Amino acid sequence: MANFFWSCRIYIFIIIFGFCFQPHLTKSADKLMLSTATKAPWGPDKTSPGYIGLTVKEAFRRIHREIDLFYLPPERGLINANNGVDDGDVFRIAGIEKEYPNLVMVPESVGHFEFSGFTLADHSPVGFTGWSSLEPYLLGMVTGWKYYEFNTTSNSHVAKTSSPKLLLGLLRDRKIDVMLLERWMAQELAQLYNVKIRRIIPSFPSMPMYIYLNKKHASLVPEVSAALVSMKRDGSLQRIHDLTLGVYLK
Amino acid sequence: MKKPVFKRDPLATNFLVAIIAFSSLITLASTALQLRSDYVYMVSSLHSTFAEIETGHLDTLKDSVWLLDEKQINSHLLGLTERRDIVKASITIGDQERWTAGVSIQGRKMTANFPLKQLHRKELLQIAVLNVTGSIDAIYQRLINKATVILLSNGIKTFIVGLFVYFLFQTWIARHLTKMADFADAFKPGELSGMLTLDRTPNSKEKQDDLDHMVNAFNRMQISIKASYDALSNSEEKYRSIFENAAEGIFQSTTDGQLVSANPAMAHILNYTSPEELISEITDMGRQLYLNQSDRDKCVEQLMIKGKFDAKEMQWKRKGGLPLWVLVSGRTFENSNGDQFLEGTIQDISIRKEAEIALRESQEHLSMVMQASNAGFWIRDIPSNKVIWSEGNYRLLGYEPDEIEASYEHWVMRIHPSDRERVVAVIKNAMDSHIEINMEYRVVHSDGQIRWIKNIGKTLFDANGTPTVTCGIQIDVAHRKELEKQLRTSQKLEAIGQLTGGIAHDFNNILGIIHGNFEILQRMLPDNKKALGRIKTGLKGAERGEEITRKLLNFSTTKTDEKKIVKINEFIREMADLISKSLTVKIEVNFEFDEDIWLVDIDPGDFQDVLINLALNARDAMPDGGNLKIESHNKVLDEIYSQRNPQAASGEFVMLSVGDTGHGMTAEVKERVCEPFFTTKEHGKGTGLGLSMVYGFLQRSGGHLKIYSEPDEGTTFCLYLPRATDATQSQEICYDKTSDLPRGTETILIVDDEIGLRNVAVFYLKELGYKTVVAKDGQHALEVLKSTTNIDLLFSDVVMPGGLDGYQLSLAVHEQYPEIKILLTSGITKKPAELSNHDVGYLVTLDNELLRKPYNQPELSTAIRRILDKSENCDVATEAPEIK
Repeated sequence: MANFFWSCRIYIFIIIFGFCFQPHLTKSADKLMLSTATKAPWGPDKTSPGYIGLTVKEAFRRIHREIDLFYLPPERGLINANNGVDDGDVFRIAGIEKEYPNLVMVPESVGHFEFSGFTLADHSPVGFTGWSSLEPYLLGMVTGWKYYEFNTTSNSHVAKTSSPKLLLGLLRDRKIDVMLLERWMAQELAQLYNVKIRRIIPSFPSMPMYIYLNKKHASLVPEVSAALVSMKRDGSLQRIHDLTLGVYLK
Repeated sequence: MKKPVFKRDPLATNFLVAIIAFSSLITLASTALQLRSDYVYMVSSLHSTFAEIETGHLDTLKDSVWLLDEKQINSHLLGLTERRDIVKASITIGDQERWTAGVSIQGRKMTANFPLKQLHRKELLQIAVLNVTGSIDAIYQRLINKATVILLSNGIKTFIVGLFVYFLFQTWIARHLTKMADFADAFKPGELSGMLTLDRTPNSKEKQDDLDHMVNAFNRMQISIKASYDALSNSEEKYRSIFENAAEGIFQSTTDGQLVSANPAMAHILNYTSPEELISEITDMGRQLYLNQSDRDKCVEQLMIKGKFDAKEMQWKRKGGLPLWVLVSGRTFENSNGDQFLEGTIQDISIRKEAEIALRESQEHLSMVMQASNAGFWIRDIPSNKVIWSEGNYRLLGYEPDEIEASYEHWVMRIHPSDRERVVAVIKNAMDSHIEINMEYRVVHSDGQIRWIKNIGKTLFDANGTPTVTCGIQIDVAHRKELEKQLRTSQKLEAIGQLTGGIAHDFNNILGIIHGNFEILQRMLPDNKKALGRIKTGLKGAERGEEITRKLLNFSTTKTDEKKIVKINEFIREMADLISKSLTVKIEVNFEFDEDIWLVDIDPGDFQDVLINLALNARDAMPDGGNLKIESHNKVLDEIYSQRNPQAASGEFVMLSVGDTGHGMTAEVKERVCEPFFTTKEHGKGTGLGLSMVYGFLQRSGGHLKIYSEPDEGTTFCLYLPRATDATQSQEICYDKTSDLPRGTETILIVDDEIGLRNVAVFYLKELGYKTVVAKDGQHALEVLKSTTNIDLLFSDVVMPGGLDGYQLSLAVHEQYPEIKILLTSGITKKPAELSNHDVGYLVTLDNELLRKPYNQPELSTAIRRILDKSENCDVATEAPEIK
């Protein structure tokens, strides 16, 4: 036995040396807790990690870090990430750090979110020519969706719910006229709850979405960003997109 | 039934007020309790709300906060603030209040903080704090509101009920009570004015209520009162007469002295016009009626203890303040209200009391007079043979009351044997024949001397003529007898003087013839030597006879004289040398002159003869030597002295005393010593005319002679010459009034064997306020001192029988009782040499301060007071006292 180890000594040395100088291996023991407010199909659910889940996991895998992605209500996720309770929040528009100063945005986007507005199918068509054109309507949105919050500050009739499901309920119950929700999430829910909805045309511009980390992980931002670039370059991002959202695009 | 008239009734009003007040009080108390309970409940409710929020809302709220569902959160918070007493609900994240519903308050509040915790990544994470504030002020306000409502509603309810009760009371009770009261007011105890009935439908006997019972009782009471009143009126009528007409004063008062009733007799006794005036004026009996308020205090004290006091004599005051003696008795009693009063009677005993006082004073005066007069009362109860003697009776026999028993037999045994039979016969005759007793007889004094007694008495008989009591008074007439003897002596001397004067005058004439013829023969026979010798012898004989007749004429008052107003001191000083040469060298002569000596109107030549004669007599009395003292003093002799010495008048005198320490004289010799030709010397040694000459001189000068002599004690001749009034020397005679004399209250022991002089001293000193005790000699004085402890001064004669003279007594007293002061008195000068056998200094002091006999009251009072005021019985000799 001793001869065996002696004969394998170089390999043993390399292994030991490698462990000592592999900080990311040490780091890989601290799993990053990341939240997201986006539900399926973008975000994770019981059956699938969703687009965001696969994307963020792959990006951090490439920098040798593990993450745990979980759903939090939109505002809650930002608050927790800002307070350091969690390590970060994923899939937010740019500029969040202005409101949550302890967050650092990973400059490379993770994907694009199609912010849309929906009415019931039997509602008269609502033309969108700017956010002021929605003034006559009762709007509904999910609390914490910053895009909508930023753009509806001048609107006087905005109902907020804690979840897309409740928002669809308001629309269905005609308590609101326009449901402000992401395109694919809305369709998912409408399909699920058999609510016929119609998307407002033209739709709102799609927005790039980013990963925000608590500033204590600011050192990971370049790595994560490079990882995302690499994923875009090698088509990994697209493949994930097709895998998770392709069915909706068909 | 009469329609009830509603008028304000005090009782009903009070009833209403009482109901309202009590009800209000109960309401207040119950409301307070209720509010307290409500407060506790409300606060407890608040706590319950907090607990409910904690248990029922935190999860939901936590989820909303986790989801940051503002609408939900605000709605939730708003819902919390809509709970009772919750005024604010807020959610705080960190230090920042993120969501708020309600308003902040400044008042009293209660805040509960609930942490909102969310399970995140298997950890309980505090994401926010729910702050819920409850308002205590709101609770208070609700309580106040509730209290107001309760009080108001209860107050209204109570008032309404009270009013209802008031009217009920007024209708059912008060008006009937008013009628009863009116009926009672109109009720006159002496009349029956009809039965009381109420203004309402009468109830049947089975259904009578309390008012019916009261009416029935009222009517029964009316009948009973009428009966009692009638009985009382009859009784009062009976006793009113006694009260109004009683001769005694009858009164009633409160315990603090307010007079409440008095009868006319009491008003009359106290000089008030009516009982009403007396009662209205007397508000404090102790101060206004009692002369000494302490008398009332004592009576009241006894009343409070025993309930009554027996009749007491005390002094009250009439209207105007005049005192009167009353006999007061009293007792306490209680009226129907239980108030205590005093009632009593008074009798005016002023007349009786004044009579008692007068009688007592009279008895005291009588006693003093009897003491001074040496009289003694006696009473003999014949059937029992029991005898009562007064103190004077004991003294007449020379005993103290406790020394012998008062009895007829003892008295008879003290009678001189020669007089006894006669006296007993007189007593028997008085009882048999209803004759008064009036006799003089001799008794044997306790000191063995014979005393003459005059006994005056009478026998009392009963209805059957049987003698029951003999009583009488005995008087010592020894003094009178002495005076009679002196008078007889004086009369005898006067008669002798007249006789001798006549004989001497005639004989002088015959001698003159003989003397003259002898001188003629002498001239006729100048050369007959033998005849001349015989003639010379005859002339000597005649001259000798002339000398005798001259002396006889000096004795006789018929001798003419040449008087001059002189000061005898000067004569005596001029004769001092002559006198000294007349005596032997063994006799020491001392002179003591009063330098303010008064003038006298005398024949200076006779005075010189008198002085020489007295000096020669003294020499003859002191064959072995001795002391001769010649003194001159001014003297005032009072009436008492002149009464005791009938030959002496009262007034101002110059006293010349010539005292020797010779062998003295017996009483028999002293009685005859002034008789012409009386002498105690051997035959041929004296003519016996010297003192008769002195006597004659004094008679002519208006004076008198006092001789003090005791065998072996020496003799002192005191010549009293009346003071001569001269134009240059006239001055008013000032007799000291007794009220001006020095007085005192001390106790003085008087020691003198001469009872008359003792009584005079007692009389003088008692008048001056002193208390006196007497003793008959030195031994008796020592016995008295053993039994009497408060003697302040010993006033003692010097020469006394019994073996203890005044000086010896003084030494004994000074030794045993050094605090007792001593004053001696005497008519005889003691030889200074004898004092050397005793404590010289002390006895010399006593001798220097000796009060000369005779003394009058001023002299006695001055001497007594001076000795008493001395700071101590010092042994240092002092100056001789000045005697006025």
